[in-house]
Amino acid sequence: MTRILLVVLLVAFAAACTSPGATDSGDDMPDAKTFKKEMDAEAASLLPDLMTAFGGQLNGMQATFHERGGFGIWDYTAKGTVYALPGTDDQALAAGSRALEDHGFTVETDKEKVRLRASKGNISVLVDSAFPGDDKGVASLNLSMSSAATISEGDDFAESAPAEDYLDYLK
Amino acid sequence: MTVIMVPAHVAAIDELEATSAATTVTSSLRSTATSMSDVSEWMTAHGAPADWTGDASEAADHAMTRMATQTDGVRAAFTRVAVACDTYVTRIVELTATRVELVGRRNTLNGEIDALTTKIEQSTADDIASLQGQAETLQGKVDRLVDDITKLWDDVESAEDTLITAFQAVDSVTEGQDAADRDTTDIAALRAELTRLGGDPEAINDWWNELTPAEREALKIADPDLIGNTNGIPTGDRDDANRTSLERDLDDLQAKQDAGEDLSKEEQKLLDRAKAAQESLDVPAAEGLPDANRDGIPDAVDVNLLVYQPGAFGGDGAVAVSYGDPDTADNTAVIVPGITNDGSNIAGQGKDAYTLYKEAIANGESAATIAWMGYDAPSWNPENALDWPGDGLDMGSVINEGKAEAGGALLADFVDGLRASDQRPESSDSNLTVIGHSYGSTTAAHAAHDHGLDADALTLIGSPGAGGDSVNSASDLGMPQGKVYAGAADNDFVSWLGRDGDLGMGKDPTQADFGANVFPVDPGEEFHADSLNKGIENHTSYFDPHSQSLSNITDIVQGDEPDLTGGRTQDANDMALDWAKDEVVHQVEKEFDTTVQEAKDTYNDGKDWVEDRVDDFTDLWP
Repeated sequence: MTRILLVVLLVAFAAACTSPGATDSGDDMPDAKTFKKEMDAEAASLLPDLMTAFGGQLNGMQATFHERGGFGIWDYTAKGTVYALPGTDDQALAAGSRALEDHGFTVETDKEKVRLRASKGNISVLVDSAFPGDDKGVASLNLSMSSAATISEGDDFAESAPAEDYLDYLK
Repeated sequence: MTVIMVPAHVAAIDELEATSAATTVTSSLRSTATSMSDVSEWMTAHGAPADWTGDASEAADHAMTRMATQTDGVRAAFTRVAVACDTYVTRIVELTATRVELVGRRNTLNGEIDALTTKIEQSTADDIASLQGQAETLQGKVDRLVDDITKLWDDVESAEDTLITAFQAVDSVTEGQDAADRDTTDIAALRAELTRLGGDPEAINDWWNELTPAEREALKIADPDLIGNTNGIPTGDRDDANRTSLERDLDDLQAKQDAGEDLSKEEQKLLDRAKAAQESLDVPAAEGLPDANRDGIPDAVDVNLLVYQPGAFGGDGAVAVSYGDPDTADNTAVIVPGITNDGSNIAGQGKDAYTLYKEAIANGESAATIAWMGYDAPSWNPENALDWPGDGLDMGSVINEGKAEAGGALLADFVDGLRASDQRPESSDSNLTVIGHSYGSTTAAHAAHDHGLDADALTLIGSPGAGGDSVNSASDLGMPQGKVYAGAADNDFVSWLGRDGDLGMGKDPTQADFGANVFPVDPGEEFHADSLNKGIENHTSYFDPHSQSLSNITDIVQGDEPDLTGGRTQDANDMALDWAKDEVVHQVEKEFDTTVQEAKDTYNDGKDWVEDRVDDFTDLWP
């Protein structure tokens, strides 16, 4: 029985690798193109206010699709580092939390781990201290904005979409 | 009135115009030299076509020999300037560090000057002698700092002059040919020496370090594919050589495409893998640089291309990219990916490795995290699903351990190479952790059990099995005592596959009785057969930011103990069985609900129709 089950699991696994679009993520995630448009628009609106709230400078933050392994399901993610913060991590997180709420995000803050998680529709924002629990030197944060769940529709678009540079939204 | 001469503030120190990014120029020079070398070697070896005869053939031979000689002159010129550029970049890196130190001294000193000024404003006559002494001490410090700043700029100018001289020495055809004539490096002999060492990384490292800079450069230019992928060659040199090959491939294939020529299927595959490798090198720039020394300025990340063989494994490609330098890092991690991965998605693997890098340096230690796609993982392109035995057979190999066994040997060799090129004192080699994910954990387990993997710790995540019938417990993996770690999400269905026997890839390493140190992982969401994406997410979330898994893996990489749980007490296959039973119930209930709803809908539709008809008749006979 176990042998049969394992074979079934492996077949299911292989099937999942080959036709992810046939499975339902259950999260009503839109297709890659629609979601990219949604997150890029949110980033264009949010990032200037968020960076004003943090008070530091941002580097990185190119939004790209990347496939989980070769399984045909995708994340759309932009990650960056906020450096040269004028105050402490805690102060930056508190200010960032307010900015996110002003933009309609629901925010959960973990003060002990110096990080926050915010969500709005299909979009998720994570912020955490680059050096949690250590107040030596100038503070900096890791910032990430991504799809709340994986995207399984729009493989071709995700594969070929060029990177979107979110730093352009701050100019 | 007494005057105390307080020194003026030391002026700001300009940034150096050149940065370590100048190394891209060296890569381009080296890549051009490689192309010249290839042309020269080809012409020398081939001459006129074999079926040419007579005067025309002789003339062609002469022309090609002349051309080969001139090309060799250009190759020699590029080699010279590549060496000079390399030296220049090394010097610039040293001088940039010197500048950082001088900026620190300046800030401290200007602070001391301000403090003295405040003291003087609040002083009385009794303090004058003491304050005078302090002012003189500060003036001495200012003078020394100004001298050191002057020396810095002299050194910068000297480095630039040396580079300019090197370029000027070979900026004509005659000078290039002269350089080629004086070049006594016997590339063939050096290649033969390397072959004779038989792949022994320690011997290769010793041999390489004995070569002159010119010999090393000549080898990197003449045979970048060999030098870049030989275990035991130092990381910086492997990176130089592999970037040369990468640039060559990108230039050649892109130029062909830009010229409107169709690429063959193999060439297109090669170009895709070259682009993916380039993307993996660009991950830190795309995701943000850390400010590791907390000075408010982002630091460059030393990214190294340790393996670049885009045509390996039937075109799947072998690539390894390191964030940080494993030759000098306090902590090193090698991440081994599993099925469906190949050279085409190295950038995604690189993102996981870079996420781990940023976590691993948060404790102030240096780190190198390596995405190692150096073996032939079972992979399957759905477009080639009917390609049997080709891709079909490749994916079929996931149900046995053949590729994990072969990959284990390659992984152990790669790690031996890292040990050999480690520049830290032997007593404090980099703390090296191998992290195997999915089928990669089976590969890593084979490296440990079959080949004595020379790592300090082994971490198996989302594992379908710890490899082979002869691995019954963590102690069978031959790692240092207590240094086998394992973690799996409860709802990661790949981690339900571990079992003994012919069908399976060995025991589940998270079982309590296996004896690994099992760390907690977020369980992941429950999933159903019609939402397998959730199951895949559970299997691919071990490096997600803010996850328990990433936090615990970071602890292990830093040489600390992670949080521990007791391990699973339910057999992995039983977890699969439970899921299957629940799934049957779920699907039946779902089908029942659907059928009931359909019956209700049909009844309601019929009832509405009857009522409508009754209304129609009522309207006819009011």
